[in-house]
Amino acid sequence: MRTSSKLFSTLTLVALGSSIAIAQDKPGAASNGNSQKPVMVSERAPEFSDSDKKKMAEIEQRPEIKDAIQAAWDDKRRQDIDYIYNVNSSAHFTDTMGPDFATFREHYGQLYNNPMLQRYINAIGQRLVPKDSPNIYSFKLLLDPIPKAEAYSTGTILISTGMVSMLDNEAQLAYVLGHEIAHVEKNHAYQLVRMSVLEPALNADKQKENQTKRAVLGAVTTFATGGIGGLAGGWNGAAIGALSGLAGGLIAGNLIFRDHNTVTEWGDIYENEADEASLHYMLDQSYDVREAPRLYARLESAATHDPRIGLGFMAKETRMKARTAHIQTVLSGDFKPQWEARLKAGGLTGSSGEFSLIMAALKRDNGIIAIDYDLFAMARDNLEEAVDLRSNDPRAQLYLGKVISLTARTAEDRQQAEDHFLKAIQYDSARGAYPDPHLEHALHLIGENGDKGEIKNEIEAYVALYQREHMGALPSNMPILYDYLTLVGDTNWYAAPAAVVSTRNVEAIHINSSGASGPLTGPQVISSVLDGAAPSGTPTATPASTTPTPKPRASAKKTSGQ
Amino acid sequence: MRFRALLLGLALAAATASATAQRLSVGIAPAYDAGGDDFGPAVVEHLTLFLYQDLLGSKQFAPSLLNPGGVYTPLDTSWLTDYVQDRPDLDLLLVSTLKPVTAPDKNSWTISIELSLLDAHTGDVKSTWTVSQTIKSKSLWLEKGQSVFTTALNNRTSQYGYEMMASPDFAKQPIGKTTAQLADSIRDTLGANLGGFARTSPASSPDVAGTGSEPCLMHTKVTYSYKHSASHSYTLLANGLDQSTTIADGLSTFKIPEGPLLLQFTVNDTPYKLSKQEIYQLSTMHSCKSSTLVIDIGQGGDAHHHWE
Repeated sequence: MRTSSKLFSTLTLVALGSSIAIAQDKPGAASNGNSQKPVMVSERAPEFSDSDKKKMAEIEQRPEIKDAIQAAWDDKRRQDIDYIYNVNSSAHFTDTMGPDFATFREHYGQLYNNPMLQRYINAIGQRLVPKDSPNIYSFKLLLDPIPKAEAYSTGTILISTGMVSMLDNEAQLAYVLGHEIAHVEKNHAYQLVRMSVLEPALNADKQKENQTKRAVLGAVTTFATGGIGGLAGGWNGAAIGALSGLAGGLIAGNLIFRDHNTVTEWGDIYENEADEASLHYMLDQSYDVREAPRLYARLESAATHDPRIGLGFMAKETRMKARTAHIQTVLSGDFKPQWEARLKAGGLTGSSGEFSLIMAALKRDNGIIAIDYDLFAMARDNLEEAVDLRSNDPRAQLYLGKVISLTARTAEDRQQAEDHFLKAIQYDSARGAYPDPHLEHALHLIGENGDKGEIKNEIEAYVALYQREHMGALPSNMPILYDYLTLVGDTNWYAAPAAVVSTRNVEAIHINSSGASGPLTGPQVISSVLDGAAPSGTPTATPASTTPTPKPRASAKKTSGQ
Repeated sequence: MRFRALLLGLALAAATASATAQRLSVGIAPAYDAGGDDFGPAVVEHLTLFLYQDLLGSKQFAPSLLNPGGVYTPLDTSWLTDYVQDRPDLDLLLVSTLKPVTAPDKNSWTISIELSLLDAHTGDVKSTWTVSQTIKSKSLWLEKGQSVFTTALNNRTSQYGYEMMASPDFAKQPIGKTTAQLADSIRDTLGANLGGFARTSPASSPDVAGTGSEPCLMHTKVTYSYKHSASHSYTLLANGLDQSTTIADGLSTFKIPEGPLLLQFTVNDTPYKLSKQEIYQLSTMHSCKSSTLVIDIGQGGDAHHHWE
């Protein structure tokens, strides 16, 4: 469903990625009819012969062909409408963790639930739409680490977070969006459907004609050579002559009237067209068009580094090089005076401050989802960049620690992960929204034979924050956590599930952040657990040293000792 | 043999090192492949080196190889001038671009290189010109076939022989000969395309080392300082000799005499998204006073080096 409903995938279609290579291997494939001529990137458009053009025009007028094109186009649009409906529906799922959503996501993807970024992408896209365009567009971000961008007949342009995370600046983003706009502006979807009907019809007609011509030639040579044979050798001569004439006619007919089937790689042609148009859209908005070849260099190296992300299709050297060369040719050809004049007049925009700001969040979230796909190189790179852009982001610190920890080979690596967990605890100390770094810190301390009191406090802090985040539910691996506590000498501490707590406490349970007196802070939640948790004889330790001293609320209830 | 010519060129350069200050120092940017054809990468890689070799023997120019990285494009000369900001010794920058092949007739193709000469300090374009060579289309197809065949037979040999250096194989092939002729044409036309450039500031002292000494130990290491990491997987040729086997924990160790040093290396463990050059070609002077050459690759794949 998804594959068939895609119109264009600028940067990920296998067919498009490999088609230039095919054209080069078979120089006649693009019907240029010149096998010796180098396949130059600027000359890839098919050159139908005049008779083919006439024939196609005639074929297109046939009612059955008209109907076939219309039916195929209707079908395509219907598929696109359905597909986009489902993509949009992803925003209405409340449970995005369950198996139902996983299946849905696999088919339709998931819109990135970050309104600020959605608005930003849409704004950049709308700016690029040509002023005289009759089409209405909508630009949307998908939370998907696989770099892709797609245009649909609905006017919807989908771009993945994986794609945006690859970009160095806004100019490159404009190039990608402009490329997709160009597919819609130039009606490539319709043309693709139209030619998918017309070309086979043309080939069938030509085959039929050739069959007739071959039959006529065979008959003529049979009779002619039979006659000559008859004159020379009587009936026997006529029979031999006719047979050899028939054989010769068949061979000659097949040689002379060969089937020159036209199988055009329309995808390549449209991609080149869209590349070129995108440069114009970019320049109209004063974006630096020279960023386009840089984007390809970046994508190519990323694909070489990690083919799993789907860029393996792009990394086909012939296609990538040809595409970069095409852009380079356009930029250094007739288009050059235009962008050079703009460059000299007022300069060209590479990026904006807004781009860097939004990239911090996008790279963080794409890095996090990339971990789920085991795309570790991408995840680490994205999260490192997110932390560079906004070092006080506890979520970015937490997941950067996680990806480093998952792939750690040495003690230094593990220490590096630990540093990020500590930073996550530090930056989340007031809100207490992230339980995980407390557990990670505890695990690190266990591995290092660290302070037992601190280990205990961190595990309990983890449970307390987890309960608050999950409406009182306990982590699913509580027996394991109790086991950790036993290992560090605590055999008493017990955490009750919310249901138990709520039956024994008149006041709102301390994991509940609602209430007249305002929500509990992270330290208050943790302290409510720790204050009563330390068994006699066990040193009372504070949570992670970076966490401020908690100030327990009077109404906070303890879950220990129940 | 082309490679012997390189060694001879290096020796010549050593002998004339003291005269370097009088020559115009030309930074050679890696030839850029804007052709999109299969043979493009091999041509641009060798063209850069051939041109360097040709200019080594020149009395007018002192060449220096530049490595502005994988995101370098000749359309953005400011990238290049930014890259050479820490190279006051350079007078001029030579930018070359392999253009798409043209086919005047079906049997012969024309390979053209577009050239720009820039003032290294201001970035002003002093002149632009084009050199071309014609090659039989049949010969080129044959070479492509050979290249693929060699790769299929022995990937390592192919990597070294065909891609890693100016191999005798490549120089002997028609496309290699054409590339060499293109380099010669560039050398021959460079002097006439200075565009009135005259050195306004006194020439910087080149990092001239003594020559003719006994070989002494030197090390190389490749770092990605913006990621606070170092390469542990790279291949290295020093003055044409494979030193890859001497690399241990990212540090190569080998003996080499003082004098001009040409390093060619490829890195295999680049950080994610780093647009590396397929091959880095770096020219410097080796002195036994400094033992470690540190090559730092930046975010754009651009390589800078210094001695420690």
